[in-house]
This record gives sequence, structure tokens and C-alpha cells, in this order.
Amino acid sequence: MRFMPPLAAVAIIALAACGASQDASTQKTAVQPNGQKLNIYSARHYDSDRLLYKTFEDETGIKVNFRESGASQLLETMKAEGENSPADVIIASDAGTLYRFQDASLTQPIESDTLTSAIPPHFREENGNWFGLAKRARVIVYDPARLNPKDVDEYTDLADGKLQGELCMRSSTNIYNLSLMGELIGRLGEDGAAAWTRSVVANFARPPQGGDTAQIESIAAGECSAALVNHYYWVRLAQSNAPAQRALTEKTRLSFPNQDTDGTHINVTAAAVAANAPNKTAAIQFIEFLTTPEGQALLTTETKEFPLVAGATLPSGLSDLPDFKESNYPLSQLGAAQAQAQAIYDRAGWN
Amino acid sequence: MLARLANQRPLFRRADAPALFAGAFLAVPILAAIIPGILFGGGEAWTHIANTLLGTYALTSIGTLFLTGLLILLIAVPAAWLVTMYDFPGRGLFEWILILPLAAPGYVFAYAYADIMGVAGPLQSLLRDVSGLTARDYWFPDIRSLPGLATVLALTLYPYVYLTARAGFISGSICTQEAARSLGASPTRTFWSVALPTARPAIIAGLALALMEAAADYGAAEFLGVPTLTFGIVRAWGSFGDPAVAARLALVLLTLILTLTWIERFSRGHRGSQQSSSKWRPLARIRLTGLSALTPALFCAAIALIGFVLPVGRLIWLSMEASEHVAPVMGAFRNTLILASGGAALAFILAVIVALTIRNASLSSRFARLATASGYAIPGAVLALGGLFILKTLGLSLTGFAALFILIWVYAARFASAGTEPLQAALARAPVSIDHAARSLGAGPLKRAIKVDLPIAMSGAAAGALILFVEVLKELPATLMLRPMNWDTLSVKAYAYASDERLAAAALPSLLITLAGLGPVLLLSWRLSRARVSDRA
Amino acid sequence: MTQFSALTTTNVSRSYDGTQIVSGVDLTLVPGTVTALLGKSGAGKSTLLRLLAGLEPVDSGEIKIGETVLSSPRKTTPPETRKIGLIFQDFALFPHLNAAQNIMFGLAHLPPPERKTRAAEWLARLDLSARAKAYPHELSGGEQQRIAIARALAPSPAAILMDEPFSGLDPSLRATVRTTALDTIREAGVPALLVTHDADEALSGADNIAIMDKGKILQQGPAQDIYLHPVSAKAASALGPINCLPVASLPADLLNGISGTGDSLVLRPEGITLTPNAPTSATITAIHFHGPHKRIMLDLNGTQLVCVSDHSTETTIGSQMGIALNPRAAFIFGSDDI
Repeated sequence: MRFMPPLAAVAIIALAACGASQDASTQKTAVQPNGQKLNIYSARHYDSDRLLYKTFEDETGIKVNFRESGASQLLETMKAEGENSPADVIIASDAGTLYRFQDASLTQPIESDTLTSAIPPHFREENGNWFGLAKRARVIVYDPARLNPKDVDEYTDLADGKLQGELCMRSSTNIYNLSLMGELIGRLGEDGAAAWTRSVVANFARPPQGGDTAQIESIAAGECSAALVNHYYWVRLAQSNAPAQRALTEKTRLSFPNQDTDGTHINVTAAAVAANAPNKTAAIQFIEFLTTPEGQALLTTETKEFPLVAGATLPSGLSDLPDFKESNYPLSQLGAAQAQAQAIYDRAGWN
Repeated sequence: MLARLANQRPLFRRADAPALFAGAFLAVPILAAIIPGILFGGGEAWTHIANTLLGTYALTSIGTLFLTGLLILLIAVPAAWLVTMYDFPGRGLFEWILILPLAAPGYVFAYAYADIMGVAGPLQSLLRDVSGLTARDYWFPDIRSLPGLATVLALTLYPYVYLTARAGFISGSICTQEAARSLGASPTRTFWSVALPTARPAIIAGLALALMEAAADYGAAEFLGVPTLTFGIVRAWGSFGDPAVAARLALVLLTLILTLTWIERFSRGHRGSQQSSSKWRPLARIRLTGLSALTPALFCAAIALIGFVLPVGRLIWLSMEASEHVAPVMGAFRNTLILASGGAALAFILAVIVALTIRNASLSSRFARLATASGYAIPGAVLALGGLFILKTLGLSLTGFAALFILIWVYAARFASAGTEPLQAALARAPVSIDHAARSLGAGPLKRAIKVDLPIAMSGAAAGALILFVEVLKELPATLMLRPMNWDTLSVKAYAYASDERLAAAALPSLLITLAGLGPVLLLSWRLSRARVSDRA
Repeated sequence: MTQFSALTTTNVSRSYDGTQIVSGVDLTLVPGTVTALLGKSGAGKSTLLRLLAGLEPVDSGEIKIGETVLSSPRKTTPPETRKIGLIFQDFALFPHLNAAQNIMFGLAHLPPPERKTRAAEWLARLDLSARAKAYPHELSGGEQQRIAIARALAPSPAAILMDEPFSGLDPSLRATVRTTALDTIREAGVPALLVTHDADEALSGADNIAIMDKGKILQQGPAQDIYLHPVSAKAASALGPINCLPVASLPADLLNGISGTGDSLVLRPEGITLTPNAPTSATITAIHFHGPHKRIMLDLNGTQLVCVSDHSTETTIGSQMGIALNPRAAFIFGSDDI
């Protein structure tokens, strides 16, 4: 009896080691596995991404292994693994994140005509260190019963005294807010951005809390009248099976700010090839796959992001949104400004 | 290497080897995690944090711990007293139902309560529908706040104190309570002046465990947006990309916890607590009837409702809305069980070695005990960084067996302390004279440890193993970072869905974690109630 | 000094889970005396003590102190208002309070200065003033015993109940501590009950003895009376080892002068006198030296007997020795009295 725990431990670790090296899925592949592998380090964690990996596997016979974790965790992992890192492709939901990987010399420049022709220049890094694949707009969601569309058609409207006590926001530490601030710093200068932040904070209906969906819930409940959200959270609610969630979108509207000026802030889901990628060819093949109509669809159907490549099908729900002018702010600058952005938020008291 | 003179203690004896090894093994991830903080944690990011946020983080952590501790005592101590000393309708049911929240991680309750109490949740929606008010017209308790976090944590952690308080009340010699009553003390005075002080060490021990857990919590604080030190640690790392800063914050946290431990030890003074009694009498509960029976029943029912039925019920409701996410969760279930078993097993072995050093004052033993205690006080996220450091030093990549090994190593360092507690308690109950008898029969220290202390400690083994299993099951940050490729666990899935703001999808994995933990928790509870019959008082 | 009343039980019974633990007990505890409640484990002694203390209710019968009813089937005065002191086998001192504080615990109804004075008085009386600030785990067994007594007596209770209070002490200390303890208790002038399974303790320490067996009181009265005039073989055996043999197997002249009718002869070891040249003789099978006396195993026609004798008679193993019976230590009972 006394030896049960140690024996059990040995048995379990052995069993697990077998499991760890085994395939996560056991279905038959359309194309026979050809012994090639692809290791993906992804900061996304959608169930639809699994389908994406599997489809790629079926079509190419390349076995896909993935590690899904937070961006910081992946960064530290790759730094610790050094040259031994098995990572081939890095995927993240924010350009600023990929900047951090590039800055840490964890990416490598890639040449690919497919990619350079499919993806506009401001959505990829100029040397090919990373490539944007799906778009996400940070927009204003508002209560049409209380506010006029004109009241919220610019980001700077949020700083207007008219909206005092009307704003709900999520924490400033969230990467979406940090990236938006990156662009605001670029557009308004540091002082201008700081002033904007202070005025926005003065308009808070309550301290920052919750995620983007929580802000929509707050508006629908009447707690406030406007907030910043990524477009796809609203679209997911509109497309939800749960009537309660759909009801939230009936009480709220989206406004795509700055249509008359620089355009709405856009960020991207992007991919990069790792600096020490052991399967470089497969990695490039995978990223190119993501620009095909099929890859774009798999990438965006569940998440409700905008496909980046022209000609790809729009996921359901997005066609209800108006066409809008996108900002063409160079996304590669967002990452460098992140620390500065956080500092501005902290000083203004936006937690 | 044996001492020539009886009163000269050598620095190291052969028998100390297991303790030294165990201590070193546990200490490696801890040191790997902390030292970078000391050496590299300064710089611009640290200065910024120290000037703006460190004060907030520290105060928030202290405030949370204080409030959580208070709530835990208010819930657990009366409940334990009522259930142990009195007989009232439903007592048998409440006795074990009150332990169940132990199976749920803090973040699971955070998800459930954020949904229940949130502005779009059932309570506020009902309020608005019934009264016609809008959200800004009424005040409603905000779960995403320090008190909210403290409440959520108190609800998942009070069973620690409930269990130890129950043990303390039971084993506190019944005779002292009867003596008190014969001296004119009413039941109330008996409780405050005799039963409670006698059970105090047990209660404090349980509270210490609970507060360490609360301090290390990451998932609940992050979800509810409360800037505790642990949350600050991960944030600093994320915003500033500087893990060394994170390690330095972890040092602050560690100092805080060690200070609390020291304060507690100091306040105990040299008052005794050991019962001189070896006489055992079956506990005759006082039967309550009528109105006086209603109050305890209502109290316990309220705790069971708020602490378990309501959040779990809500999660079940939510999970039915998100049936399309079932398949990926099931694979995660299997992985979770494997990791929990493996991690618990390794931690258990180390816990046994460390627990056996309880009578030993040698340097190695003290080192081992210090390592165990420190590991428990360091958040999983920081220990995971230590794990990465080890990986780097060994020149490995985070794949397959290496990843598994590092992760289980980190589990052991993090949780060994939870395993040593029940084992040491079992050893402490046995009189020292047993050890002396063994020595007189020629057993050297190693032989004594294996042949005498180990079987005695094993009476606490089941409790230790079960607790370890549940702890590893619930763990999130280290698992998130270090797990092998293609592996998902329930905690990771729950966290992923919740971060994507798909709370309904997060409900199922959250429920499964709780379910997986229920088995061991119920087993623990059953063993405890049996132990009361056969254990000595 | 106040006159204290007797603590009495009248036909008290208590059963638990269907088993009768205490059955129809009539017991009187006289003020200023110590009554030993003597019996084997399981006899119901502790339960009777708990009934007297108010820790358990009676199923039938009454417990009174003087004329005041403390327990009856309808009501039970709780221990905290019953004013009966308890002393336990393990002393049950409060581990988180020092000696003086333990003593003061029951004095909460007095103003603080008076509490301290009274505690100091008791400590002085029991020679423990120097240990006033010590905690129980720092006291020796004998010291803890005395603190337990002081604690129970300090609030001037109406009675004292002791549950095997001396069995936790060193045998060498036991006699002295017991004498001091019981003297102190007698001085207090209240009725006192000493539950014990040790016949020697009951005989040497108590004024009265009540023998309890299977929930019933077999016999109660002054120690000497009970010893010399047991009502049954069972009562006799409670106070010391006995030899038991059928009357029919013995020569009639051996039984001269022995009272009682029946078919069983009960002999205490000192009831067999070694009388060389007596008509009846037995074989000596073993001799055990016990200091002032010796224990001799005899074989009388196949029956084994134990005899206690001083050293005035020569004895050798294997030899025949004449025996006579001492009427003060021999009794004849009918078989239904066994």
C-alpha cells in the first residue's frame, strides 16, 4: 500500500508521456501523413482554430502540433527554449504582440510573393517578419435611445463633457486599449493623447471592469450609454443562439469612428515564422494557406473578424455592418508604443 | 559521519540525505523563479510600478486577505461548532455539503458569481423587470470589486477552516467543556472561553492555508479586475514584457505572507494547547428542538446555498446554453486527470519525506520545511517562470516528456505544503515516546523514519493525497504556460473561454473541474467522519 | 459554616440505544463524607456520575440535593446552574489558562479582586503558590491534580463528583496525593462521590462504598461494613479477590461458625488460616512473597484456593498444610445470590 503512490506516479507519467507525443485527433486524414510536422505557437484559443489546423493537416499531410497560451507566456517560453524551440509559426491577435516577438529576435523575415500580393503593406511588417491575416475594428458601441450617432462618431467625442457619466470601459491593461492608445499617441501626440485620456476618465459612469461584452451588457441595462469594443464581440452577440444575448444587440448600435478623418482603428490577427523554425517550408505553406479563401473562412467564420484578403467570403453577421473607412496607421508602430500607452493610462487613473 | 559525542550535532548525517534532497528538489523552481527578480528586476519598469502601483497592489492584497480571512472565520467557525456539538434537522447533510466548495477553484466561482451578480445577470434583470428601474437608478453590490473578490475567495476557501475547526472542536477534550459547564459557564461562555481557545491552533492552521491560497489566486482576481499583487505580477509581465519585474513583485508577496506567518506564531506566545487527555469518549451532541433548532439549520442552509448550490446551479444552467463546445472539453478532461494524478503523486512523495522530518531539528530538515512553505506562498505564474529557467539551463524545449516533467516539478514545489500538513498532523498526534521506544530498540534515524514514523504518518496519507489531487486539478497559471503541446486541460479551457468572454462555454469545463474534485473531497469528508469514531481524542 | 445537604438519587434509570445503563439506582451521598462508587468497566459508574452532574438527563427517577429536585424525567437542571463540581481522570485543565486562571474560571460571579484572593488562598492551601503562573503543560501530574481540585472547590459547590481522578498519577504518589485530596474535600463539608474501579482505593480512601454492577447498586454503606458483610458473592468480589467453592464439597466441621445459608462458600484470601495439624488439609502448590505477607496457592481436593498469610507459619511447596476458615472473611450464599 505504501508503494502505491510512487508506483502510480511512475505509471501515470509514463502513460502521459505516451499521450503527449500522440496525436490529439484520431480521425482519418484525407491526404496520407507524409512525416512532415508543423509546430504552431498561438496566442489565440478558439475552437475554430483547431478545425483550421486539422483542415490544413488533411489537405497537406503535414501533422500540426500547437501550443496555445498567452502571448507573454509564449514569448518567455521561446526565449527559454532558445535555439531548441520547436516553434515554426507564431500567431497572435494583435500587431503589437508580434512586434514584441520581433523585438526579441524570435521571428525571421520571409519572402513570399503569395503573401505580399494578398496582404496590403500597412497590414504586414515590411521585411516579412509578420503578416496580418484578419482585421478587427475597435469601434464605439452606444445606446441609440440616449445618444445621437453624431455624438459618437469620433474617438475624440468620448472626451467631450457632454458624455459625463455616460462611459463604460474595460481595463486599460487590455491589449486592445493599449493598441488604440498607440494609434492615438501617433495621431494626437503624447500630450494630446494624455489629455484625451484624462477627459475620458472624467466621463466614466463606473470604474473600468469586465470585458468588451460586459460593456455592451452595461449599456443595454442602462448603466451607461457608450463604450469602446471590438466589433466582433457585438457581432457574436447578434449571431448568438441565446435570445438574451441577441436582445443586447437590439438595444445597442455600433459606430465606426473617424469616418470623416483618419478612419477607424484597425488591428490584425497576424502570423510570423519563428526565428529558429525547424520546419520553415511548412510554416510558410501554412501562412500562405491562411490567405486562401478557405483559410480566411476558417480563420474568421467563428471569430467574426473581417477577412483581410480581398475576395474572401464575409462571415455571417458582418454583412449587416456598413462599409467603413479603415485607418491605415502602420501597425508595426503599435508595439513600440505599448509601454508608453500603459504609462499614459496609469497616470490618468484608468485602471 | 556519525557523531562521536552525544551532544554534538554534526552538520550533516547520512540520514539527513532524503530531507536534503527533497528540500533541494523543491527549492530549485523557487530559487529559479525568485533570483532573477533580485538580480534583474530593477530598471525602468520596476521604478514605474514602484511609484504608481506597488502601493495599490500591496494594499489591495492586504485588504483582500483581511476581508477574506474575516469572512472565512465568520462562516466556517460557527458552522463547524454547530455541526460538531449540536443535533438539528439536516445536520448530517450539512456536515458534508459544507465541504464541497473545496472542489471548485476560485476562478470558477468568480465566473459563476460574475454572471449571477452582473448587470445582465438573473438577479439584476429580475430587479429591473419587477421595478422598472434602469441600472443607474439602483445600487447593487458590485462583484467586480475587492469585497466581491474577498467574498468569492471566502466561499471557496472556508472549507479549509471548517475542516480544521471541526477537528479542533472534536479533539479538544470534551472533559474541558464539561468541566467549564460544571463551573457555571453557559454554553456561550464555554464556546468563547474554552472550546474556541483550545481549537485556536487548528483554526489558525486552516486559516493560514486558506489565506495562502487566496494570496496566490490569479484567475479570480484577474477576472474580477481586482489589482492584487498576484494579478499585478502577471500584468507587469504582460504590459512591460518584463518577467523579472514579476519575480520581484512575487518577492513582495512572499515577504507579506511570511510576515503574517510570523505574526501568528508570535501571538501564540507560550500558551499551551496540547490536551493532556488520552481518554476518549464518544461525542454526544446536544439535541436542539423547536425554534433553537431552526437557527443553525437556516445558517448552514444559507452557506450551502450561497457557497455551492447557487454557483454550481448557475453553471449547469449556463452550460446547457453552450452544448456545441462539449467535444473539445472531453479530451481536456482526460488530460486533466492525468496531470492531477501525476502531479499529486510526485508532490505526495516529497511531502512524505518532508513530513517525516518533523521531529528533526537538523539543518537539512529545516531547509526542507522552509522550501515547502515558500513554494506554497509563491503564485503559480511565477513558479512557472522558474520552470522555464530550468528548461533553459537544461537546454531543452518545452515538448513531450520534458514539458510534463517540468510541469509536475512545478506542481510539487507549489503544493507539497498542502500534502505535508495532514501528514505532520498525524505524526504530531503520536506521542514522542513511540520514537524513544524505537531508539531503545536499536533503530537508527532512517530506520525509525521508515518503520515507525511512516506508518503513523500514513493515517494522514489519504487526506494528504486527496488534497494534493484537488489542488493540482484546480491549478491554472503554471499549467497554462508549461503544459505539453496539443494538451488542453479543463482549467485551461475554462480560462480560454472565459477570456474570450464566452462564459456559457466556460461553464462546462468549470463544472467538470468541480465534479472531478468532488470525488476526492467527499472521500476526505467520509474519512473524517469515520476517523472521529476510531481516532483517539 | 453553611450546612450542606445530601445528594440523593431515587430509583434513577437511564438507557441508551435500547440498553439499560443505569437501573433503579438509590444512592445517598452524605455531606462531609466521600462515597466511592466501585465497579468494573461497563458497570455504569461514569453514566451515573454524568446523571448526577446534569450532563445527561434521567429516564426515570429523581436526583435531589436536599429537597431541591435537580433531575427528573420532566426537567434537568443544566450543569452550569447545578453547582456541582467535577474532577476528571485527565484533570481537564484549560490548557490556554495558567494555574491561577484555571482556578478563577468558576468565580466569574465574584468581583475581580475577590477572585484573585480566593484563588491565591486555594493555591496556598495546596502548597502551589509558586506555580500560580504556570500553564498546565508545565505542571507535574500531582500538581495538575491539585489545581483541578482547587478549581472545582473554589466556587463553593454543593457537591463534588470525581471520575477516577487518581488513576493518572504515579503509583508512588497516588497514596499521598489521594489522602491530601480527599482530606481537602472532606474539609469542604460537601457530599463527594469518587468513581473508581480500584477496590484498594475505595477501601482506604472512602468513608462509604457503593458497589455497582450492570447498572444496579449491589450494596452500599460504610466501607468496613460492606467488606465484612457482603450481601452476595458478587459484592464480595468487588472489594477484593475471592475464592468460591461449593459447600457440598467441604467437610461440615470446616464450615463451623460461618454465617449464611446456601450452597456456595465465598472465601477471602485472608479467610483461610494456615493451621498445622487441622483436620482438613490442602497441598501447597505455590508460594509468592509479598513483603509483610505471602500469597499461598493451595490445592484442596482439586479446587485451587488463594490464601494470604503472615510469615509465622512455615510453608514449603508440595507439602500438606492444615487449614481452617476465619468466619469474619467467609460467607455462604445461595446460588441465586452469585
